[in-house]
Amino acid sequence: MTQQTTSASDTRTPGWRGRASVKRLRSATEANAYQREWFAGLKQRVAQGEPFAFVNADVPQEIFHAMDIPYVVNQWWAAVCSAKQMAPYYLGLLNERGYRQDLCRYCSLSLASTFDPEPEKGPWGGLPKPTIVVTRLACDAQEKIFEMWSREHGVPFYPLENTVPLKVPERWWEKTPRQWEELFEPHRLDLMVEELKGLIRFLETITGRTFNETKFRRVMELINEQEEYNTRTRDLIAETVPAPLSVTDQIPSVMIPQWHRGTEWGVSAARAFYEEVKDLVDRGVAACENERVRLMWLGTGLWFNLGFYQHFEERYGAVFVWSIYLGLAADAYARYGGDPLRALASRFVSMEDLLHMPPWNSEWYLKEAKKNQIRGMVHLVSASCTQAVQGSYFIKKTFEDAGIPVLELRADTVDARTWDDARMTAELEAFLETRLGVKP
Amino acid sequence: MSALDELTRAYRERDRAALEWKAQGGQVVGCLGSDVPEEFLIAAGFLTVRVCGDPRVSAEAADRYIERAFDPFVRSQFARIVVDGAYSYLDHLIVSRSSDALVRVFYYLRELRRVEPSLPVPDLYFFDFLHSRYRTSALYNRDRARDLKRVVERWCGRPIAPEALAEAIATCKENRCLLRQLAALRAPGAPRVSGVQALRVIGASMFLPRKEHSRLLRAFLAEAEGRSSLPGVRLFVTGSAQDHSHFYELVESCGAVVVGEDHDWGNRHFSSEIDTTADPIDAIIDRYHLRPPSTSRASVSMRVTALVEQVRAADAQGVIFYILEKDDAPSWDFPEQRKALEAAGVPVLLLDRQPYQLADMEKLRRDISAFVESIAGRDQPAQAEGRTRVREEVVR
Repeated sequence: MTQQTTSASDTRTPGWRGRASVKRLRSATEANAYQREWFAGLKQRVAQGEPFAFVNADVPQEIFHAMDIPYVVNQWWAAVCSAKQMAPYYLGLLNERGYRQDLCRYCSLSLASTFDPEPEKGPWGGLPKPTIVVTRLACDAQEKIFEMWSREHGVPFYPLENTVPLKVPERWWEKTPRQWEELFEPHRLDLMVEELKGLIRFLETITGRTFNETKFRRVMELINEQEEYNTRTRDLIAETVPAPLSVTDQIPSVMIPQWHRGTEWGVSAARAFYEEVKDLVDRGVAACENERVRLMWLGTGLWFNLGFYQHFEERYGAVFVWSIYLGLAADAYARYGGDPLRALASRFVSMEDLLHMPPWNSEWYLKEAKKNQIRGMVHLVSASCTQAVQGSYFIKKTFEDAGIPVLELRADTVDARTWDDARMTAELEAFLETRLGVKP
Repeated sequence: MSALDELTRAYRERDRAALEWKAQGGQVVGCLGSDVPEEFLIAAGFLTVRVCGDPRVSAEAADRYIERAFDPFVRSQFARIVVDGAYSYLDHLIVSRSSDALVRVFYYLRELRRVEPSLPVPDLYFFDFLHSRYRTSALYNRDRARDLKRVVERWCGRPIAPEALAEAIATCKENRCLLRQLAALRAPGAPRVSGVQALRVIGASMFLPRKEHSRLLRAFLAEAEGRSSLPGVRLFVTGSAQDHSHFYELVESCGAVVVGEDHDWGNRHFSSEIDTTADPIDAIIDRYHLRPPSTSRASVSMRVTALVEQVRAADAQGVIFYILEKDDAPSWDFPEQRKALEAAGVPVLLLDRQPYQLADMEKLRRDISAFVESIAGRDQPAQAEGRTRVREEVVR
């Protein structure tokens, strides 16, 4: 039993530490290095008085690029804090203020990190104070958490609304790039466009920066280029057995450029990632030479324990070849034609549906599983976040009806305090041995 | 049978009026969530009933369909629809966007109708009502209301005449006006109606035809106005919704009177006037959009301001936060609300992570009694003895 219970009075790092993943890809290492350098530059820019936005993952970051306002994404920073094993300490600070331990932690960990009396001891020297915070009203907690940011740090807060579709499209992934206008109900797009216009004017007023329409159009074009590379990479991994890489390398290689999507660097990083994967395929290099079973990791990353995945490669030849990050980059982001602001609205209007709502998510997951030659799926089911629960019954039924066994692991994506490493490892090993027939 | 007896019966036997309505050839529409504009449905000749949970019945049978990240009240509502078939008599079920959990429940119900068609899930509609108080949301809500009106017209097979809508608005307005008179009998200072009675009377309006509820309520108000004030420490209840009166019964057995609450099954149900001189769509949407915020759909600061105002208006001596397990929204509100109340000299009691069915009653009773006694001792030492005696009599 390795479950941890840590309060803020404990040391900054807990006794039990998750395993860091071992990066094998140059592109993953380079993406991490770029991000560190970018973050250092961000801190310098903020120190010199430039605006800086702190935004939730489902906020259209393209707008900030078009205004040259640097931003940090809430879930990315939470993942960094978690990977640095800081979550127990930071969440303890939140709990000391009267917030119960089992509230949503993925979206509140970044805020908790700002309660540190010694913020400079945080990851990468700590997060600078933002000029503005922006989120979507996609769950009951978002507005509350971001308003706390606003009040705690005396910065303005801008919420964007979220809507619900009444129509259920079939095979949405075939329509998102070019038929998005017919895929999403017009009134939802209309509202989102109005919301974005409001955000742009607000940012212009608060920061004194101008929204550059020409740059925005270029940002949208660059994203399409970037996602084309991601699509090719996804396809390459899907069709190559044994897989050239697993999710531990995929996640940094795709997600760090995704947070910089719409930049020249984002495109070049996606291209470098594709070329490196292509080179591995051409040379017949595999993530696991002894690949015996291909697995799908559904849900957010296990940020405090990214080395978790690699144990099963080594012991069972069980390779996690798919996570939402590359799949979503390949199928959900590209938008061609139409007014660019409306195209951007269409990228974000249904992000919640694609990720979290059956049958949007369940049918897409199955399509991806078949494409990636998946034999078993492991689903990280959040025990505390309604936004991250995503119809696990429907996903499981969809997969098992298609003959793909499913294991549900209940854990928090950032909070190591409630993680029982031995039990989780045993559950997954039992799944491999009994449901998939794979022996060590 | 007195008016209160009839209202209490309607509160307890929640499907009775609906089944009678059906037996007479009428149609019944269920409302899951607190933002369904019943005016359209009443104008079309439907009876509306609010979907509730049942704390006596385990919701575990529904756990295969719905995750445990949802609070137990929502899981119970879901179980009653999907597993118990308690709402199979509904002609239609409208889910409103009153919380994130209900949005997901709508998706799950819709998908269950597709993949498990044998389950007793009624015909579904989602009312995508936005709560942020911006013009864009107000306009979006008006369009969604027009959509809903068209859907309801399709269900009833005829257009809703303007006169019928005006009459439904007037019916709802009168009912809410009477319920506000009920609220006035609970506060301030000298409550003449207990929290348990109030909760039942308010709740009955969610199951009875509105005109019938108004008739009974009018009779009850006439009777209650002559009452003398109830003894006990005046408490306000916030946190999770209370769709049954068990918790209020417990609180009031501890020497207290619940004089107000801010949840959807209490005073929030009838808060805010509707403007009968405005365009009906404008009037309906403004009433639902601009009323005091619910915990699920508001910022912490809005909730702090609203709670302090309502506690002050109710002249409550203390506030109990009763929060169900997994009901995150009120838990995010609590620390700041506590600070604001304590700064205003109002003590608070937090009962957190509670199951849907009251559990560990003795501990709850001890905690509530100690809270009540601390307030009684602080505020009115001379009267405290009397209240303690009253409490003991009630407990006995």
